Amino acid sequence: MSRVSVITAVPVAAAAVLAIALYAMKYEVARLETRAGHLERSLAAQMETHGVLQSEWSYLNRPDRLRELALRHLNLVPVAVHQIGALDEIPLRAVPAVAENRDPLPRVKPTALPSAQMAQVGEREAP
Amino acid sequence: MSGVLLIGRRGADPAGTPPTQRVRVNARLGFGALGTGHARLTVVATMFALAFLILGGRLVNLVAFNGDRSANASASIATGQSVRGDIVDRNGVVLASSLAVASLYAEPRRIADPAQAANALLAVLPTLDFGDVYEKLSSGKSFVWLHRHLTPTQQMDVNALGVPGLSFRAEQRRVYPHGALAAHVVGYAGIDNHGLGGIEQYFDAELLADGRQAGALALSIDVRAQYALHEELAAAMEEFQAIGAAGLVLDAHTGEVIAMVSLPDFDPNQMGGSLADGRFNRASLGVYELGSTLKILTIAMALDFGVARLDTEFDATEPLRVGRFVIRDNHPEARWLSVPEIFIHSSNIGAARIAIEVGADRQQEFLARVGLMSRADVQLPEVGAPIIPSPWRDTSTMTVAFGHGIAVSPLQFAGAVAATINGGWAVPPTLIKSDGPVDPHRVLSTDTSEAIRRLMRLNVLEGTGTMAEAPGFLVGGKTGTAEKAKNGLYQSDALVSSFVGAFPMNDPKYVVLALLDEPQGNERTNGYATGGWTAAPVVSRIISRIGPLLGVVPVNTIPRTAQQALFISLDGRTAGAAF
Repeated sequence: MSRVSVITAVPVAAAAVLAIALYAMKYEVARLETRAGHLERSLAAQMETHGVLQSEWSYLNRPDRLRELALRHLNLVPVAVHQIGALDEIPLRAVPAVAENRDPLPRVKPTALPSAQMAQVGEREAP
Repeated sequence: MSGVLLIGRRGADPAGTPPTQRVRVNARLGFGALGTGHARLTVVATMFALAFLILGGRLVNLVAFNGDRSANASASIATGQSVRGDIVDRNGVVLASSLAVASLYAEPRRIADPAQAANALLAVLPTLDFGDVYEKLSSGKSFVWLHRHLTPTQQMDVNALGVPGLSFRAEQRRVYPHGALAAHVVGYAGIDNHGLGGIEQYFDAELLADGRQAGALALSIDVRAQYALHEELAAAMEEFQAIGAAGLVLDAHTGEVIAMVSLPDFDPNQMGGSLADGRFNRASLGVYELGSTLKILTIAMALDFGVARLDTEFDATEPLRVGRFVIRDNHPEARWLSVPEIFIHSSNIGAARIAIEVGADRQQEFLARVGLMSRADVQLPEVGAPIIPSPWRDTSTMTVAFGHGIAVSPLQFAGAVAATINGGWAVPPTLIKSDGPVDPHRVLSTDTSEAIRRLMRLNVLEGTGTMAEAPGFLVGGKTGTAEKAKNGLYQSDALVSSFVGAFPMNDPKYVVLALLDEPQGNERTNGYATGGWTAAPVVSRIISRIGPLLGVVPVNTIPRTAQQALFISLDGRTAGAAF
């Protein structure tokens, strides 16, 4: 292979490679742009739907409508002032006195109870 | 060029060395002509290379990046026309939004049989007028609107007719899901999507330019409080057969308007049928002589200038004669009164005497400080300028002390009251959700503010405002009853009755104002139509309803010491040395 042909062949090859690369890239870009267009249109449609749904939600949450629904379906009235309290106001349950400040022992398993007593307990709880 | 070629031929080389090499050899030898030729060749080759590079670059640019058409351009094409931005309340509840709707138009030139087309259209759109439609369709024009903003069902019906020459155009329609509830705040937009009132008009450019992408415009309004205020005012207006009503709930620290109602109102979804009276915003555009509620400011001013202390007494034994006017008390005590007594008995004589002590100049300066001497700077086109006495005579000084001779809008007055009870900070009212004024500055001292809190609480416990009490919320406030002036004469049967209150008075968070325009007394009120009988109960009910909503802790969980700290004795002597 003469030098002339090398000098010619290299640029020709480069041109061919570039042409193919450009061709591929152009199609890739076109494809991506179509996809972007689709996404944008879809986004616009979704935003529109979202707006409609938000308006609808706001419309359905009109205070007068909620009041009517609450009156019809709920047996509730607004919270009265005396029903509101602070956590501090709830008294803690008193600690039962323990002899000699010792920790209480676990209770005995109730198998020791006579069977008659057990039956009575059962009857009492039945009704 | 030719020189180079010649040399190549002449120096015949049996070894067959390539001509280029020979040229290089000769050039190195320093032949003048050869050197010039070589230089020219290099220049030309470089230029060609550059040209190809530029072409190549442009090619890559065109193919890969589609020239100068950026991605953003295609985005705006996809979303079509810009959508007018939404307006929401402080919790994100939609108050105004835009929906895409279809509008029906015709190309009359393409309509073959106008009568038949008109008949077909009327079958699906019964609201249209046959004569009108027929005239439009037979006009021979190229474009006429037939019906703006069809519902999707209507659009489908018209489509099903299959009449050629009828087409739809996509348009925006402004919808207000809450209808009349916040109509005066939000305002409304016309059929061409331009704001014509309220926030819609004030922020028209922003709503159009930024569109939905910029996010919704968040108002300071709370729909729940707005509803409570609206409902209570409407009920009172009906009970007392008033011609109008206005109400406000204002955050005492940030100046945010939590609720603002003016009655009668209108449905912004159907502007066609609304009356001018309904569009009039009594809360911000209307200015009223508010009567005794202004005594709050008179006393605040006297305490702040050090002119009086709470235990200073003023002579209210007999009516005050000023020129041809006589200032009387409605419930004369006919004795010397301390400042708290003047406040709770709503003594006009006492207030007038206090104002004389303060003086006209300092009075005007003080009223300007709390924002009553100029138009309120709020985000609405409908803002009324106050009517102030001009010239400001001594008579004016005295009448202004008890709220006559000066007419202000309820909105700016609520802002002034907020400043007197929030510790003394100026709070210009705002309709936009915010964290408070941008330039916080003091308009009166903390001590004065503390005294006013106690006076207002005392007035609800012992004075003219007892009907405003809402159990648990430590309400404080002041009544006001003013006669309306018609043709320069005050009318005893046309009153403006109001109540301005705040809660909870140990640390006021909200200012509540209710105003009734020309209420009539009834059996329940023993025929009275005064502020204490008509407006105070409204405030009581409003506070009972919105207090829990707005997260105000009721009194039964506030320590007794906090309640006792609010107490004040009638002679003003036991409230502390500061006063």
